[in-house]
Amino acid sequence: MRGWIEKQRYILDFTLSSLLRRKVKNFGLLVLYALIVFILASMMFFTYSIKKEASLLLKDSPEIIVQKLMAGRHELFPLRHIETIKNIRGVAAVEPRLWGYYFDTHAGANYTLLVPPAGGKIGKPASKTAVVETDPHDRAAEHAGQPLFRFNDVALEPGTLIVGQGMARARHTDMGDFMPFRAFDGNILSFRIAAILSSESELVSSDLILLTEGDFRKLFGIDNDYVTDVAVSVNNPREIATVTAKISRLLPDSRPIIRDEILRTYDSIFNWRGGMMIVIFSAAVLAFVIFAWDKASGLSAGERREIGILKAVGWETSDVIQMKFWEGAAISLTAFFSGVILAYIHVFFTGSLIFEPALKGWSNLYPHFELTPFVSLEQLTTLFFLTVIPYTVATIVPIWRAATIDPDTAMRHSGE
Amino acid sequence: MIELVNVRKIFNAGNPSEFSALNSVSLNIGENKITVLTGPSGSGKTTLLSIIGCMSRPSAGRVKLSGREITSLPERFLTDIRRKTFGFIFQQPNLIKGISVLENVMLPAYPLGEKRSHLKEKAMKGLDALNISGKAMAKVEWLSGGEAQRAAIVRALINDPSIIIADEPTAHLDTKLSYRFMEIVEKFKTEGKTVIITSHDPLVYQSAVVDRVIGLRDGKIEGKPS
Amino acid sequence: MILHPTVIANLLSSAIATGMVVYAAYYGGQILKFWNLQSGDELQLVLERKTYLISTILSFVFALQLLSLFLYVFTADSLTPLFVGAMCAAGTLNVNGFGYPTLLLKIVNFLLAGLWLVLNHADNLGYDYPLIRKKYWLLMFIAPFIVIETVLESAYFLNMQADVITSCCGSLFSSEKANGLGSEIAALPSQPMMWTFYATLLLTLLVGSYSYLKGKAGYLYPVLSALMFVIAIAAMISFISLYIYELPTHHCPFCIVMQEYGYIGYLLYILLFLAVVSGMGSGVLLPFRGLESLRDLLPAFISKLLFLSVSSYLVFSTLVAYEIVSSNLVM
Repeated sequence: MRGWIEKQRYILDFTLSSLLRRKVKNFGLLVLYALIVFILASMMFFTYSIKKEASLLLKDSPEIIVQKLMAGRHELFPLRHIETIKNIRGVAAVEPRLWGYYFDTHAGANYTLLVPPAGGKIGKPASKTAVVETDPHDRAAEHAGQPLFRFNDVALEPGTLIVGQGMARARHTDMGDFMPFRAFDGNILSFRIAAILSSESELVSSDLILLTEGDFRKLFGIDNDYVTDVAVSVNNPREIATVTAKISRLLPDSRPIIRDEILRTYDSIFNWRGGMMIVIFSAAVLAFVIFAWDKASGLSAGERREIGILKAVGWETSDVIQMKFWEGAAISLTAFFSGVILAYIHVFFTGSLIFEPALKGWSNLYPHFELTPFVSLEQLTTLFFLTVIPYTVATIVPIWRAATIDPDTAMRHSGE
Repeated sequence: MIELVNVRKIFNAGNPSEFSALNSVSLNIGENKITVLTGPSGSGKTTLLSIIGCMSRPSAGRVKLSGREITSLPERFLTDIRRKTFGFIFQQPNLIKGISVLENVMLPAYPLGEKRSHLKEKAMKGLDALNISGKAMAKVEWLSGGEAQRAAIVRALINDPSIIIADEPTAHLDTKLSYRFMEIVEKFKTEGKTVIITSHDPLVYQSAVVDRVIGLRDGKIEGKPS
Repeated sequence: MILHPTVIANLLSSAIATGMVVYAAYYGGQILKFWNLQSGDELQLVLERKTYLISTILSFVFALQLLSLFLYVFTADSLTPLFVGAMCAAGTLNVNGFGYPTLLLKIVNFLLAGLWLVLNHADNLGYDYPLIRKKYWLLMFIAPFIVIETVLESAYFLNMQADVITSCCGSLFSSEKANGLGSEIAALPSQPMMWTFYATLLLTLLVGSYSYLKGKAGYLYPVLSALMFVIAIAAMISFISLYIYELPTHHCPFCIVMQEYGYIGYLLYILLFLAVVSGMGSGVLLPFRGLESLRDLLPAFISKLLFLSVSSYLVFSTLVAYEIVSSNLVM
């Protein structure tokens, strides 16, 4: 056993020194390899942490949202149904919500308009709203560190707005400015911007506008008897399914949506994006694998000579294979770790400069935000499988070819 | 010590380019003797030497080393025998560039996994014996032709082989260095080693220390062995 | 299908493993057909060289098989949120009928590849390739299993359908099939299982140590080591996991490889795999002790395998004992 370790040490030493002797040849391969890892790792880190972010944000959203359907389409929810839901056993609270979209022709973007819940200040754990807030007792959420909006105790008065960062950027507006809106009946309504939402967690609040209930109804012409939908909270999480079933039985024209289902949908959308990127990117990986194969099979005369000498002086085929294995391991590990570290810096410190638009982009107002670093063993293993394993496979046969060079080539060469 | 019976070596068998480098060669090489194989190039010297040295296997025939049949041993066993029994000196020094003389000398012992301090000591002793210990840390590119060959000789001796095989060792040496080489060969003999040399240099095969000269032509042994 | 990076990694790795094994089996077939050690023909020399390629490939596949086994469980775990009722990998593997068969086959293939490497090592000890034919017949036997595994694994991933809200209707998966997936694995009753586990463990360790110390390897230990492997997995489900999770009802052999439990599962499973491969390997080699070229070398190798197997089981049981003693769960 000790002899074996000593032997591996010798071979490893020799391999490293021979790698360094061929710096130029290996450098190109290493750079390309690291680049492939870097791009794949960036994509994975990015989608995984967005997914994580989204799920952390959704964690405190209402357990059930009930919408009304009309001919298969979402319709305004009549307030009188609220009592029906409230009477279901197990329901803790029912909160009506008013929200909608407004298309701004100037910015060419859709805003989300929302009436903050009746409680007024957001941040109280009791008031479950459509949008997320942090529960001060929830350590995980605190760690994520992003209350969705924080408006420095500015009271939302009729005629004023609180807007998200992305929106403010798009319209070049700031606090105190007025913003005109075209109401449902063609009248122009002007609102003053009272505050801008904090930049943390822009992901969800970037295109958000908060306004009072009265203004909202005026803008969209919604009758006082209707709201957009209602948020239902349930005492015991185990009863969510039962409560949901009861709601759809009592109100056949309603559509209850469970939070977990939203989470699941988010999850699969992000998975799909990540997977799609990898499929697209697989051509590049394949090109790299072919390059690696070519590089490994195209031994230079010097390398052939060297292997010939080694075999002539008493190295065996499997010793040469081991040497090549160490060589591959050294190259792979260097490329893998430098790629991963660079990707980490790229995604979490520079905000994914390179392909932010491609991965995020669902609107003109894409959010500027810093992702919370989140890297798991699963991501690293996946990356390993997508890069190091294909590389290793591509080099096995060339390595074996190189290792089976006849030992008497050393003599043959000198015989010339 | 080494016995060859009807050894044949055929390259590219079955192809139009098929040719036999060795035809039914039978040979007996004695222990602690200096044997020289001569013959024009293409006569099969190097092929014969590589079969004797367990570097390649004959297409037919038997090879026995100290009475043990080694003809059809798997490569890993042949290699094991080769590195323990044979030391090789090539026409060119065949040192690996970019690493030090000392490392070059230690190379054949790497797969054996010997203790490093022990191996180093052995290598230094060998270099010392041929007066090049001063160059131990130098890169091989910086050596003169004679020094490079001496380094190659030390490398051949690192695993303390009982048989030394040298392929055209004087081809790239001037007369003075060639004589120096034959002195070293003589010393091997006094140490009890067997030496097998291929050469068409009269300085080698006419040397007084040589016990036996075998002529090869067209893959066959010429005339009666002297 | 779910287009998830980890799913792609899984499919890629099994495609690679299959490709490699089929390639190796092709040359294995040639070796079986044309092998003639007495000949010095170029064909024979080429075949001998191919043996190096095949053992390199098989070592690679063996390592890949182990990694992909863990990756598979990992993937199942990370897909959990997509399926209603799935709490961890156990539920996800139940999403369709291919999940568990794939897992089982992955374990079997890992063991087969391990046994092949043991046989290969033994063959390399002898100077006349004493086991060459057996070795390549075994390879021919393994290849279809790896192919089937890939087919099953692809079927598993391709037939997955996430329970996702569709635009037309707010789906009610949750209430419809709240109990549809069966996330809990049916566990054997813990008390009898515990006794079976301890008794088999004791017997295995005793027989193994006796064989090793007395240098008398027999068929009893290999059989016991295989049995022990199965019982250890059952025990993992039945009661060991409960102590690790400190939950009296969570019978899951997968969650222990997760971060929350300090990845302790990796260590436990790797020890088990090591123990069973070397234990069964020692048995596979027993019939060849009499072969001329292996007579002097094989006993030492067998005894090394025994040592490896027994000490792996020993470390495994120590770890399990530690987990049980340090657990807050009292049963």
